[in-house]
Amino acid sequence: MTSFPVLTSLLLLPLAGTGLCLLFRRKPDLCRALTLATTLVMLALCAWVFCQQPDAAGWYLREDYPWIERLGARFTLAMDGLSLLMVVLTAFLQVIAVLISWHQKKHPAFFYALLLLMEAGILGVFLASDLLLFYLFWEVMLIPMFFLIGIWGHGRRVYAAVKFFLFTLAGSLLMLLAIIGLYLLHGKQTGDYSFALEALKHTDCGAWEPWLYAGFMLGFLVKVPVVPLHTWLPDAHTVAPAAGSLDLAGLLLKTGVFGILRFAFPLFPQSAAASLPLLAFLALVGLFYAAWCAYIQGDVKRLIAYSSVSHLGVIMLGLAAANVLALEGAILLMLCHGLTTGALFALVSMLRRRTGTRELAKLGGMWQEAPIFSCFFLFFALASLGLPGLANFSGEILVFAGTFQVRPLWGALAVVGVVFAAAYILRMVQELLWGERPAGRPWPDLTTLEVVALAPLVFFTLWLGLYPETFLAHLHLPVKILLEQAAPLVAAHGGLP
Amino acid sequence: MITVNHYLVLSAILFALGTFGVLTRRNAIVIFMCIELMLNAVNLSFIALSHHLGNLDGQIFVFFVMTVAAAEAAVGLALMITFFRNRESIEVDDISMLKW
Amino acid sequence: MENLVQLAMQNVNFAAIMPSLVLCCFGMAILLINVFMPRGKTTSASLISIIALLVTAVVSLQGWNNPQFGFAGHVALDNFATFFNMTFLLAAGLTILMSDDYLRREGYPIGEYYPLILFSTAGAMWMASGTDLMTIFLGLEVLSISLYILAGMFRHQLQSNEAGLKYFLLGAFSTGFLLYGIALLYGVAGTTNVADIGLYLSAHPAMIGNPMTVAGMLLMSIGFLFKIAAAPFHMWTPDVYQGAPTPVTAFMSAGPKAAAFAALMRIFILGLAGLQSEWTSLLWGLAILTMIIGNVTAIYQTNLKRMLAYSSIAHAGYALVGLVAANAVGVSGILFYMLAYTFMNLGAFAVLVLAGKKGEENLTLEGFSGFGFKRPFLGVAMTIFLLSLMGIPPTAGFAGKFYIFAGAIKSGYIWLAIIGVLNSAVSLYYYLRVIVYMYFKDPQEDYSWVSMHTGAVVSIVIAIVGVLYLGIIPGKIMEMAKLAIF
Repeated sequence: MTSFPVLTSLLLLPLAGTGLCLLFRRKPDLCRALTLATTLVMLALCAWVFCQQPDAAGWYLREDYPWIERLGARFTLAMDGLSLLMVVLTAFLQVIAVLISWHQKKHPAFFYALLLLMEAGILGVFLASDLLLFYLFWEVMLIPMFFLIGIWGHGRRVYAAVKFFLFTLAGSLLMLLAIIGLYLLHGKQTGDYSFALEALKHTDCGAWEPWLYAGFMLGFLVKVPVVPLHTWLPDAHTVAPAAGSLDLAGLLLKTGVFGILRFAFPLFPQSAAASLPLLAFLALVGLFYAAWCAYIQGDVKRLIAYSSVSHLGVIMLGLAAANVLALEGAILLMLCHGLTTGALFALVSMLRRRTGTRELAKLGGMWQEAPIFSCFFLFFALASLGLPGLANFSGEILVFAGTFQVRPLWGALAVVGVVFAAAYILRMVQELLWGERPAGRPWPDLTTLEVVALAPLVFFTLWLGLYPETFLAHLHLPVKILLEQAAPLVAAHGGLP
Repeated sequence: MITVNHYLVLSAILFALGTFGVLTRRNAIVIFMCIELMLNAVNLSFIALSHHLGNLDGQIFVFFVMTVAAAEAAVGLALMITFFRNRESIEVDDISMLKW
Repeated sequence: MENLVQLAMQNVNFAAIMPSLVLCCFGMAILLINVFMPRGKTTSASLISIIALLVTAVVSLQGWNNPQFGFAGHVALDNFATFFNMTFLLAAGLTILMSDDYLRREGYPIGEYYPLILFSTAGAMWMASGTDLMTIFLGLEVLSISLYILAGMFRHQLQSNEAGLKYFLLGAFSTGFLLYGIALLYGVAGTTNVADIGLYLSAHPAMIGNPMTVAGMLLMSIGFLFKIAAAPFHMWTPDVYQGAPTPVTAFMSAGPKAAAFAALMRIFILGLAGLQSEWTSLLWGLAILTMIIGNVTAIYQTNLKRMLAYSSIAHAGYALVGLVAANAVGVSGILFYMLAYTFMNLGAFAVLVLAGKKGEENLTLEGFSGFGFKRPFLGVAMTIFLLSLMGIPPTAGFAGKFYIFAGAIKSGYIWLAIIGVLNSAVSLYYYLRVIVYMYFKDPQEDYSWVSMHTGAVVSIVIAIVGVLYLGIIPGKIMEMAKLAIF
């Protein structure tokens, strides 16, 4: 442990970058370089933390400063294995996001400033260990995404941006009420008014618990998104620019799952345990419904957006199974999904830049036209489908194994769902890469820069598929602690391991 | 024997008349006169109560109310004059450029 | 005779009225100076007014933790009054900063404008520090009469005439109710001193249920609720806000609202504590009604001044929630909220002042198309103010709402808090629409008429700093708000 405030600098660096970009808004090249430099420095910092060992309680780093003493809110950042992986994913994907939007022409400085601001918000969500601070970052991360979709989107961007904002904010306002309620309950019981997560875990909520739990979950489930609350996602994805889609799929959706694991489950274990069957039901419904929606989509990007909802269904199932294997699998799958789906979104944006369309009906024959593109696309599509040896497989197999341990029926249904995934992915690949090539001007292949942006994704997709233990090693402790703290979760499935 | 209650009832009646006038009349000056009626109804209450309670606060209050009413009248009539100059009317139905 | 003078002088304590005294002296001095200035030269008047406000701020801060009472219990310069005084001075200062160039652009460089702002600020101060219904009434009238004139200031513009006249007629009407309420309470308690009324009522609990007491409380509330712009006494707000000169609207949305809250709080919490169950149930309903009417009607507005008027009604509703809660958190929440609202709302109006053409026909949603990219600084500033009005962290608006709703939940008004939060969700829609127009629509014009006048820019910068300061590290001000309540 060092005394250098690593976590705080992880938040301040992107904020400084935002400020500089706004300041030098007339020099786009400088802004671009600044942004890339910032994201690379962040990645280096994260890589350094990744090589550290946690202390006995599972913390890699903890920082704690006074903030609003009158309310008992403190500026507490903490990093355990779970948040470490999420932070690494964020820092990594953000570098890719800068690379794939290298040639941003419309208001470039503003664009990069927003990317960095969003990074600060997302990192804050993953690091905050004080509920008020968490809520603050939770909202901060919304605003840049709103602008990214609204300004740089295509098509019905205003509609999609406003829908995104209203959906997620309405959910999080209820979470705010739940936070206040929990804070006051805890204060009344102990006389210590505090927002600290560790303190609030010991609150006896009594009859209020289901309501507070519901408030938290609504905020998170909208973000995940779970099926009846998912309608903002396809719209947002369809219109979002490349980097926006990447961040949305790779990071923003993860904050919802992360919130459930970090806050909702440990704070309200009784209600959480009672809600597991409902969560599993929603997860399975989402898995099948989204797969079916994906199958009938004509727009490649919308198809991938629905596939994303479907994958999140698997992750939610892992949460509902609530044992070591399933939880580790779900968290690993978050990483995998971030890489593969993010890469697919990036590829689709590159495709659109060349062909001017994303309609499957108007596309085809890419294999001959643009072989490099096609290789990448096939690789990530197969990874997304769950091909053994590539990223998603390792996560999914853990989730299924964990689910079978407790509820074989859920596991069996979920495995059937994966067959559906194969159906829509293969249909997409077939029509796009081998279908008939429509007449028109030629479509150039990927540029060097685009290959450079995608290569790291390929690397890590293989790594996660072949040797996930590197990442799982960081998860054993936090998952164990989570299940100890939320003992009723385990009991809900009959106390099986 | 006229008690304080008689004064209070009279004052309430005057106040209600004033209120009714404000709500039904359409001429800004008449409305303003109705408001003055309301204020004077209040003054009547104050004086009656002051006499009844045997302390002077109420009567002092009346002086202030009268002063304020005079100031209000000055400003109000000035506003009406500027409005009249531009619109050549003082009916509140003509105060219609902004949605009422 | 000498005895009488002595008797009178015993009670005199100029320290208690020093802030408003200073302000009035400066105001009258500026009036005199104006006589000798050539017509149209108002910059010096505005500068002197700023100095006046700074001096008053220093004088007023003497009362912090050093309460001054005087004039036979009519005036108190306590922490409560000082906190509110600061809010008023801030509102007046930001208003004056944004006014000078605006007045010249609109063709009314009238020197009397500044003294009127100062006088109305002094009136607001009397309302906050008045401990006798008489003082509060006088403060209210000084405030209102100055504002009637200010609203109708642009005398060749029909809009402004209408705004002034409407404000005057409805304002005077509501004063009638206020006075009748005071008279009835006087009749019950035999005094107009707020604290003595409280003492009387706690000594004679039988009088609490007396219809005369309740009627007095209700009638008096009308007068203040009118100034707060709470529904159903909000009818004047949109018209007056739209028609009045923009800086005056800005001032009206913050100063008088805060002043009326100050008076209402002092009277209800100190004087009418015995009737708490009555006035909480009254305000409970009004708070909900006000929030809903304000937010829902704001959705349909296309004129930005009018939209901000309805939003100001909605914000009055949020603040009323704090009064319903009637605990330390909620009440100090109102103090905090009024300060936060002053920053964010005056900031937003300052942007409107700069963005308007002469006559301000262009202050509509359409007129803001693409504004954010053509005028980056103003765009970002407006975005921050709107986010704050929505209540998104890390801004002052969030901290304020958080404080108030926490107070409501603490007192057990869970549903009120939920309705408030849902209302904030509704409000997102219309605030967001301004941002949508500013950034997501293509510009129709190049906004070349927007010139960055120093005064208005300074007020915008102050407002941004305030909004972010109160949003990110609100601890210190929250602490002060806590110390400021009774």
